[in-house]
Amino acid sequence: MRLWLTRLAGVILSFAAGPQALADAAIRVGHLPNLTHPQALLGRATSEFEKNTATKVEWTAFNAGASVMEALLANELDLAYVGPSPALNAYVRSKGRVLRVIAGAASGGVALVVRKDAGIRRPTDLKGKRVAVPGLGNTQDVALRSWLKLKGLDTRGVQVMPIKNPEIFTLFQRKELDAAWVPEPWATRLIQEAGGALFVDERDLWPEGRFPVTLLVVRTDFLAKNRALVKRFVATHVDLTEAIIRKPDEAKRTINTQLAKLMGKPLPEPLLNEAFARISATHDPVPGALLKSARQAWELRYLPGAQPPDVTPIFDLSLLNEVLRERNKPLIVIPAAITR
Amino acid sequence: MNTATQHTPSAALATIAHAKARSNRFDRWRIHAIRAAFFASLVGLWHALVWLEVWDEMIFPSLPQVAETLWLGINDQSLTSAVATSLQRLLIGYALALCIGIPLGLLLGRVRWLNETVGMLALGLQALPSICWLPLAVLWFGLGDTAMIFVVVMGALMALTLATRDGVKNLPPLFLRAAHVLGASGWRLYIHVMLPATLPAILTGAKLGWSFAWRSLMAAELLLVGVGLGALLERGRELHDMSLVVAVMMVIMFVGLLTDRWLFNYLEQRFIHRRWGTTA
Repeated sequence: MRLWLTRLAGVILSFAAGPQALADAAIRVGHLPNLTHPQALLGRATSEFEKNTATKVEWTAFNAGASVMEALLANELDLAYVGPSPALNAYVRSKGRVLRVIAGAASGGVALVVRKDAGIRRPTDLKGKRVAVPGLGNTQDVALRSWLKLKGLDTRGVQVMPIKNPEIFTLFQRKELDAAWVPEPWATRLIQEAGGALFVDERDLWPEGRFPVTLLVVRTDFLAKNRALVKRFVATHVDLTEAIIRKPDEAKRTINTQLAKLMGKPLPEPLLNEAFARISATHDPVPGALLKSARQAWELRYLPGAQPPDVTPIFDLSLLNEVLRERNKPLIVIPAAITR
Repeated sequence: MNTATQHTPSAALATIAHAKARSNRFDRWRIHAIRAAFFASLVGLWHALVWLEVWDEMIFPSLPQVAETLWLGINDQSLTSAVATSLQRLLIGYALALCIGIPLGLLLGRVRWLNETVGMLALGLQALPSICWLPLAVLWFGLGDTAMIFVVVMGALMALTLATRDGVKNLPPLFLRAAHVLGASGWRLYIHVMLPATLPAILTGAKLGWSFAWRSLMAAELLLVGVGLGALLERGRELHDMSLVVAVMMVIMFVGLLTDRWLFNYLEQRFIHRRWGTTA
């Protein structure tokens, strides 16, 4: 009887200690099941991060960047692949406390797709049309609204609707939407499967065609406590980036099998090829472009404050630069005073 | 003479009424005081929690932050126009639910085979939170207001129908017999006898339907894009602006409280208590 009781107590204790022990031993990483998160998809498929960090990695795929940041704020994630705008939002709202950008992940891979039969030839034709973005205040939303402003259109003339990517696809097919500013593979899916036409490739709007679409961010306190671990993660991230650039075809296939696991079915070959061609994997967070998009977000009143916030301290590229130095690659420098 | 008047029954009654009124006034004053103290202590607790930094400011906004957000929202009309949009949708949906629900309920109460079929369906649908209709509603009616109004109708309709039906079923048979004897039949029976007689039940259903409609609308606005109070709350969520979330929650509560205290209280006084002679 006593033995039985001790055993029971043991079981209960192990249950009580279980989740805590597991949380200590694992890195929790969030990402989106989009092609613009290639390192996450590739690393998840190959278990490369587990091998190099010798730690269990728990992956979670989210529907939108804002939810990723919500999970990070709620202490449910340690690292995350996420777009610049959600990262900036969380950073500014937490008064710069909650996270740091430690590397870039991808550039490009975003397009404005219009429905062929919506009669949109020039930007001004968008007046009175419904344009979808994947989330309110997310990276594409900020890009679209800033672009509209640049073209002399405001959001009273154009109806900007934040809708999740899969729903954008359905509604676009049903002609409920006239255009969408979306990341890959959704842009190409709209083109190839829903009667859309490429209208703007976001790369054409940025100097040298480079802008951050995905960043690698870490919770500030996790970084402070686990620098060595995070450095190994960043190193793996840099190596995966290299692998994607060197052998895109191989990477593409692995990424597609991972996407199939997350989304139910793989992307068709032509779709994958076209979409992937628009994305560049890069460890460079393109700081200049990020600072600019922070200012745009502030102008759109997504970021609070009477003055544009100074977001330069969001970067902590020390680990990335250590890794780059070890690999004899050029270091990343944050340009000073680019905001004006 | 003086003593005599004091001893007349009417004077005694007046004295009692006077004392009652005074105690009523005193009660009302006391209730107000207790209520004020309760809410003040609630605010105090809130402030203390913020001050003690039990939670981060980001996930638990302070009262001044929320007040500022409310003020800004009223100033730039984002909050007021959201309230207006939501109320408009609610009123349209609710009016439709009333127009369909009450006649349907009256019929279900009278026609047995209809009750066995449609009544059963209504009971089943009552168990289904109306927000479950949203995916279909979006495909049927598009992204506009219609989908949301549909969800509101589905939210309020069943409560109204079933309450009206039960009101009809619980009518004293004497009423119907008397109506019959006096020659009321057909639509006259419905309009002049059953409708007034079931009003208390209908009002209960209307109250329930209103709160169902309000909840359904908030859920739909949270999930669907666009404007409105729910959308504003979702905006707060997406931008990690918890003071906006709390501000919108307060506005939603406030609107709910207003309708319940004023609108339905008034209707109850006007149509039920006075008519049935149950005024306090």
